[in-house]
Amino acid sequence: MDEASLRSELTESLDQNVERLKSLLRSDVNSDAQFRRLRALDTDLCAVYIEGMADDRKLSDFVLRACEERQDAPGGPIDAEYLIRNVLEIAQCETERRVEAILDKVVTGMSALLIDGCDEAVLLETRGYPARPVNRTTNESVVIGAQEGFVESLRTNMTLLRRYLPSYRLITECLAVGREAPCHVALAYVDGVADASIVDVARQRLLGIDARSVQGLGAVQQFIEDSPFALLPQMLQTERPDRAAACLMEGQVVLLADNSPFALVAPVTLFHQLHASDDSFARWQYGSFLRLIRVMGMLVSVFLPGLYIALTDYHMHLLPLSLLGSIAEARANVPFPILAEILIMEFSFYMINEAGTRMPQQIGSALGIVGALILGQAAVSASIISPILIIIVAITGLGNYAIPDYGFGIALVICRLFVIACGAALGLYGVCLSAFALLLGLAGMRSLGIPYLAPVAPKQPHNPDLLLRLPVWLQRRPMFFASKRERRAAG
Amino acid sequence: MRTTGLALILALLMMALTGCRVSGELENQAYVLVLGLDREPGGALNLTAKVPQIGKSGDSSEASGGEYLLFTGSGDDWPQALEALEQATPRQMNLSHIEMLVVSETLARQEGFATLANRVAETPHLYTTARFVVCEGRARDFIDAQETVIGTRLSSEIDAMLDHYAEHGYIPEASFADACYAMSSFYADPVAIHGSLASEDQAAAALTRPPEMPSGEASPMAQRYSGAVLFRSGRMVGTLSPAQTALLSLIRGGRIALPVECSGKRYALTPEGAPQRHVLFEDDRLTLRVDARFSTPDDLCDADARALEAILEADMAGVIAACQSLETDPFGFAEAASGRFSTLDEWRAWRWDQRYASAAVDVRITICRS
Amino acid sequence: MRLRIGARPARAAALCAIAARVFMGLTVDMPTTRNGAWLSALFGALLAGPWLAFLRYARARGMLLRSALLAVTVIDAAAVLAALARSAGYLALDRTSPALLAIPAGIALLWGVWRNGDAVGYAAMIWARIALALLLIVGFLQARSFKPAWLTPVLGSGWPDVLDGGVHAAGWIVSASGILFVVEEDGGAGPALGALAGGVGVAALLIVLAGMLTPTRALSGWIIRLDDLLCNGRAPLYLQLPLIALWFAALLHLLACQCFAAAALVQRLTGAGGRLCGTLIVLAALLLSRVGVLEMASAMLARYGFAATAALTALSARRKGGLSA
Repeated sequence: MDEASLRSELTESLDQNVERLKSLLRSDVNSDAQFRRLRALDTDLCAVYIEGMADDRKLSDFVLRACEERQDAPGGPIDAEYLIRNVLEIAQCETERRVEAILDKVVTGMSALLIDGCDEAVLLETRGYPARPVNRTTNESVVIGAQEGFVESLRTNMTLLRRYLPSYRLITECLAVGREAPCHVALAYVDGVADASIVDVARQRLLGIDARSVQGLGAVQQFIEDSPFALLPQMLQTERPDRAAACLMEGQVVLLADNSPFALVAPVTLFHQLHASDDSFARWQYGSFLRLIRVMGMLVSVFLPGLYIALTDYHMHLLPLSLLGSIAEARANVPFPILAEILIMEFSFYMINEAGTRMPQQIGSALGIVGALILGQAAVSASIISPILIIIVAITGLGNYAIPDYGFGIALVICRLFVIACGAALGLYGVCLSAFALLLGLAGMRSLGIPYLAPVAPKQPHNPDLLLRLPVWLQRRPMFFASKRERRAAG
Repeated sequence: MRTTGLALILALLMMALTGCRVSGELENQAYVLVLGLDREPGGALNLTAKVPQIGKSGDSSEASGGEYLLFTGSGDDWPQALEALEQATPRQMNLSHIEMLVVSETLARQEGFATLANRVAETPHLYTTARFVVCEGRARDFIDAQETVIGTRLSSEIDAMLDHYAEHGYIPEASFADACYAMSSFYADPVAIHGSLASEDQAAAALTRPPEMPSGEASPMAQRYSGAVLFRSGRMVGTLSPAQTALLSLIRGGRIALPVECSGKRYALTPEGAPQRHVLFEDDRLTLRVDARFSTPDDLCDADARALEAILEADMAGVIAACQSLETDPFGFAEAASGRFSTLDEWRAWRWDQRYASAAVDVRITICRS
Repeated sequence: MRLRIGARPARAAALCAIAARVFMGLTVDMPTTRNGAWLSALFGALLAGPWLAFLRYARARGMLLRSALLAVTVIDAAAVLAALARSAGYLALDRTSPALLAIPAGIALLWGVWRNGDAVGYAAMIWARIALALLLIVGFLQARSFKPAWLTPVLGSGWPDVLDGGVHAAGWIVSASGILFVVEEDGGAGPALGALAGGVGVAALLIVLAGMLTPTRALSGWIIRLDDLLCNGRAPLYLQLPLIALWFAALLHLLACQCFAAAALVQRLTGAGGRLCGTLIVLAALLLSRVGVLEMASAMLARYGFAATAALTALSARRKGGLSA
């Protein structure tokens, strides 16, 4: 690629400009790069766009036809400003003279109108590529409440966000991230509610991303997280615009990006990872109960297999004799030690889970039945696995599925393996050591500079909306990381 | 990095799959349910352990009810005897789930039993929640006769049966831990459950084996748990009958319904709260006082109430006097008395045991209609 | 990396550490006070209170004081590490060498110090809540086993032993509260005294509760006393599970607090990197925990360490004008 051409600016010669863009867009081989010449107002014009990305109808109705129908040419040469003010019937237009900027916009679906005798192009908002319509969420379903989810279009997502948060204080700053194939990221926050320093940190980290390309918000998250080596995610992923809007009102910032059907929320704490949208739709008693179930699910998911192996291998005296007898009886014909038994079952579970996720939906459900019933039953019949272990692994899996955040759930699975290893090696001493190490890890983590265990450690004033969710009328203040002014106003 | 990871995975698999770990899996252990201690005529200590069979033909075990094995080992003292028992047991012996510790009366009466009990309690992984039984005759025979009667598991059987007897006051609540604590503490003296073997036709046997149940072919003799064993200075000094044991349990705070007969009528008395134990110091005279309130749902005239009170007062005073004569305090009066002293040295210097034996007894019973 | 900790996390960490050390010291390490152990804890707080109040005046200076505090903290950490390894051995791993059992704890402690002071403090804040929940569970399930009469005679072995226990308790408070010394912001004496009062209050309450579960007995060995504490035989065995979790986690948090304080003291003394200081301290604790005479040294330190550090604190504070202020 000709770097000099890329960095250059438009000239007053239309032919020269068109040729330069054609060469940069490799129109000789790039069949979708379109250059539509026309003459209007006694001037040669050329519309540059990518077929499919730009909406043909918008372009022909509001740009090309508008130019052709306009007969009253001004006395002198026309320029971009004149076209915008007098001719073009498209709401969003801007002028641009840098070739690189023009190309960046054109590849996203905008059209550039080059004018003979003018060293500026008009960039027209003609984006109209096919996109999935707003639909139900796939991973964050709720029983009651709004069902709409984010889609792959940044513009649609921003619209959704505005619809759920109709406030003039909602700011959505658009930033391009990535050098060669920039990803458009919107940094949304509520002015005056979000702490300016947190917004600054988020903005600086986004601008500081130094990568050739960034594939969506998942990659953005990895670039801007506080502790990239930590197991647990320090940002919340949500598919739900209502949840994102609620987070904005708490003083958090929300990131949206093109081609990412979810939003990233930061800063978050451990407690946010256990919240689900249902909690706020349901009455506080139900919401609190569901949260407690989730906390139990998390604890069971991380510690149950480790505790099982610690108790059965080292601390039999802590099991009631009747239970001990049942376990011993069930294990009498199993050829593997308990650790191997657990690892076999855990990895089988992960494999069934992963295969079920990747397989087409119709086959996926059948696979679940095969995995759960046939494989489990066969393993028990063949005395490879003891029945009690199937119960343990099943409860553990259920506990994991109770976690709303997908990434957080996977992190817990890895933590579980760590606890299993420690429990197998050192019994309860190992389980306590692993819990201590995990707690220290959590305590040292931050999300956009906010401690991950706040507002419990360190203690901060907060709504009664952490592990329990008390009635909404008691929740008067924004989160502790909101701007001081907002917190003061809330008392 | 990759090599290290691979090595770690291989090591983990080696450990998990090839049996490089200590073979201490729970199904490979011999869980002792009942442990018996006998002193042989030659002076050796004999241990008997009852262990359930696990995994034998799939259905006979502690889990599903079934067969039990008896192992014995002898030695000059506790460590030697335990080692001998370990050798006799074909699996790793696990003492963590002992439900009942049975000691023969001969051994319990011997000098130095307290030391032996402490050695037993201090054995690693032998937790002391077990019930403490002193049996007439040999502990081995007593344990051998132990079978399930109702239900399938011996451990559940022991628990349910002894709970049932203790609730009715036939036996005291006596764990091995409490006995050990009492032996080495500065307060009360310990008690144990009294066990004996009796023939099937004896009335007491009906308590453990209902007549409609088929009698165990292997043991013509049945176990009988009734009464309490008293200790002084760590040695057995006597026993209490089941009726006396019920009163002992009452004074110790147990909620036991007492059937008492008066004027040809039988009344069911229920304690209202735990009886209050007081130790009164008047000059140099010590009085052991018990205040207890009972209620009865039966029709009760004043005269009968007074008569019942007198009967109960006399019975309770009798039990206390019986224990005083043996210079043993299983009631916990010492705990009430020690509160008057500021240090343990003062308490010990006061010689409670001697004063207790000669203390006056004052039992005050109040009976009302519920 | 500079080892630093805020005032609030330091206070939480010190509270947990003081509670654990005083409880462990008076129930398992030094049973001679018997029924009067809770009085010893309170007396220890009375002795250590003024020392903690003046400690902040000596914070900026006092090389000798820092060295003394460092020595007391490291040696006591080694003693606690040895106790942790013995506890693990007693519970199930009696076939494994205590030296090996201490290594995983050392790795966890290294991780703790590397996460820096706030992580240690925040972890202690969370632990305090979990411990409370576990204690409530244990207390509720053991409710029928508590015997208040076993707390009498109140003074146990008598005043001399109670006071001796108090001096030891003050020594343990010193070794557990080094983290308050390395706080960089000066929040006044209040937080330190709050941590002391809270820690000793919790320890005294736990000593009373433990005293109601087992009667005062003739003296026995360390392991037997630990056995009495974790399994008193008067409640179902499975109750040992929360007790074991409480015991291990309390000791680990105490150790994390001590190791971080010692590492920060080394950094203040030498200016070396935080990770290096942390590694050195944990290695030193691991090595010292294998020294057989350490228990005796630790007991001696508990008795005389307080007097030495108190004198050095007074000296440092006076030189800085703190006492006159």
